[in-house]
Amino acid sequence: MAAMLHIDQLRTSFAQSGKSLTIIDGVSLTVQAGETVGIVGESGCGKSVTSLSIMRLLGKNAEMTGSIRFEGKELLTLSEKEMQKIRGNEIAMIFQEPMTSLNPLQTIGKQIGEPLRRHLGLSKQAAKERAVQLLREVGIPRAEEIVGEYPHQLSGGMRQRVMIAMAMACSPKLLIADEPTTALDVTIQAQILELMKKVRAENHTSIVLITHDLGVVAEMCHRVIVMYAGQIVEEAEVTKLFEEPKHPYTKGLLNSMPSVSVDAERLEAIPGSVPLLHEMPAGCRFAPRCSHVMDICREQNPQLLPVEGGQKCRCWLYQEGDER
Amino acid sequence: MTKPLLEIKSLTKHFVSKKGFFGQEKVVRAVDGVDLTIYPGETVSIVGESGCGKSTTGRCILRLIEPTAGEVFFEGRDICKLSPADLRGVRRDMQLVFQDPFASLNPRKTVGRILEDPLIVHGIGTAQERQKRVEEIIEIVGLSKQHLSRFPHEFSGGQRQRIGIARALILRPKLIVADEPVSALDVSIQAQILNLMQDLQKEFQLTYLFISHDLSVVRHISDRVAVMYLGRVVEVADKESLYRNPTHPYTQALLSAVPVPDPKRELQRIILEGDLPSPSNPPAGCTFHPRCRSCMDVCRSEIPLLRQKEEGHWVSCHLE
Repeated sequence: MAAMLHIDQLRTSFAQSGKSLTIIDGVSLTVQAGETVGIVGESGCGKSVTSLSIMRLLGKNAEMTGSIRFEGKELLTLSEKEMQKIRGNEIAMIFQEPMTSLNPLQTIGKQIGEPLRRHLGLSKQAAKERAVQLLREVGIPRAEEIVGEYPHQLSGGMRQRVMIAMAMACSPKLLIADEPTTALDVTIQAQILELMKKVRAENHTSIVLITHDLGVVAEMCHRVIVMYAGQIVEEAEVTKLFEEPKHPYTKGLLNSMPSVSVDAERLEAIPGSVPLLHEMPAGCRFAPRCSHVMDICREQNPQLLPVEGGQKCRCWLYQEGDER
Repeated sequence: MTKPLLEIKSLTKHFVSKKGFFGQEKVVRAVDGVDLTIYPGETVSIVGESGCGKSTTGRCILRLIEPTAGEVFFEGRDICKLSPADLRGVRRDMQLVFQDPFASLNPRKTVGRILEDPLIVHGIGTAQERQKRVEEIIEIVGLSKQHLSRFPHEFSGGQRQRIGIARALILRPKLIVADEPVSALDVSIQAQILNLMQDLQKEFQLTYLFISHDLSVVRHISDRVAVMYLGRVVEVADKESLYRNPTHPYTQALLSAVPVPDPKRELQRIILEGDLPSPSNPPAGCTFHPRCRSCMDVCRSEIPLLRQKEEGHWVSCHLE
């Protein structure tokens, strides 16, 4: 069976004042039907640009090479018109900030109705009825009244529910969720995560979940991709990632998190900070912050290779399949 | 028994907003009778969700916002009654670290100037002495002298937060109120800043009032924790006691909602229904009752008081 989404060697760069800045450098990933794949990393690692590349929502100064196949269909060569038929229909997206991603001048009902009318050709009346139904499914009380209201009249959690209702309107096969709960309080986040699980179970939707929160990853994802400075540094099944992280960066991330259930005297912080785009290290991009750094790390960037345990890791400690 | 450094008694802040010209006055009860005591050398955290009044409480303590009612004793003196001149003296001993390291540093001043300003304001030392202190403090927070001539935009978020901490620290205060100091930072940087704050606490015998929405960070840094909901403290306890044995239904729901980075853990989550009620029209009785799963009749009419359940563990709930 063909994968739902297959990205091969995606490279996204932006032309800026005559120079080309590469944000995503050779990202490959596969999402199977019904699978939830998490992309984690800190600010600036390229996780959001990856999602926007899939949707082809980047500006005109963006240049993408490689391949993004959705159910076998190459997205990078589609015309804008063909892409519009896919967006919001077969692939939908939930953004981080529901306030800025909803139109403040349109009623909730109209916004949810738009993909329904556009992609499914429903009449105005039918779209409104379906919108009410969708709002009920995402647990919004007084759905009949809410369809006539504007985004500013709703709370953050409610707006995110509206976003989910809108994304699910055309029963997409693939849902891209970019930090869907980051702007929300933890009790509201818990509500939204439960809702996403329910929606996923009912529609058998594949999800690409982009987040910086490893707790959310552990709860939602089947497989995880860890990104650092525009590249994938580790890919693993979710339990493997938390039990046997391989890459020093993944280990560092896990160790630097304070825990709500265990006491630690001191956190193991990763020293330094993420390198800037125009001063990427020549070798491994994590080398300047890595505690296991060797001579070779400073000279050559390692490949993302399978390591023992079924995961993939980009690190000289594990090259050629054996542990050094 | 040691004397408390800071004692807050029925601290209240009501914001009055008016809708339209003839509109009715609306009172937002941001902080509604908060009691809290902080002893020298400890870290007390206020934790709660957006709109619970935790930041307003922090600001009222420093009188950056004038409290509507209540008392704040700092080393036995009620700072709400101090004249502006006396207040300035006290503020040397209580400093604030802000959440957003991008917005809280003046972009037109060099880091050296930002750090020297508090010394100038309080008339401390000669120019040379001030320069020496600035150079000392920048190294204490893990940056170097070369950074002093640069401007805030040249630094990363973590470095800016170090500058914010240095600015608070340069007056050698006794109390630092840190309002979400690590919320804007990535986790690897957040760990650096938390470690720095712990090191500084040991070195300078600091007392922290730490305000945060992040229960994991709060568990890591605190000695005692106060949970706020809709302008009131619903539970205060030692960290161990609170996390092991959360007693207020809101604290229980809050703790159970935190996603744990362990995919094998069975979820036993209490999902709260609905949203936070508006603080301008809080529910009668216990403000948490419309969302509480153990709601009883008495909760709808009577406001529960903070009662001591165990030694040092206070809860405001009608449940026995």
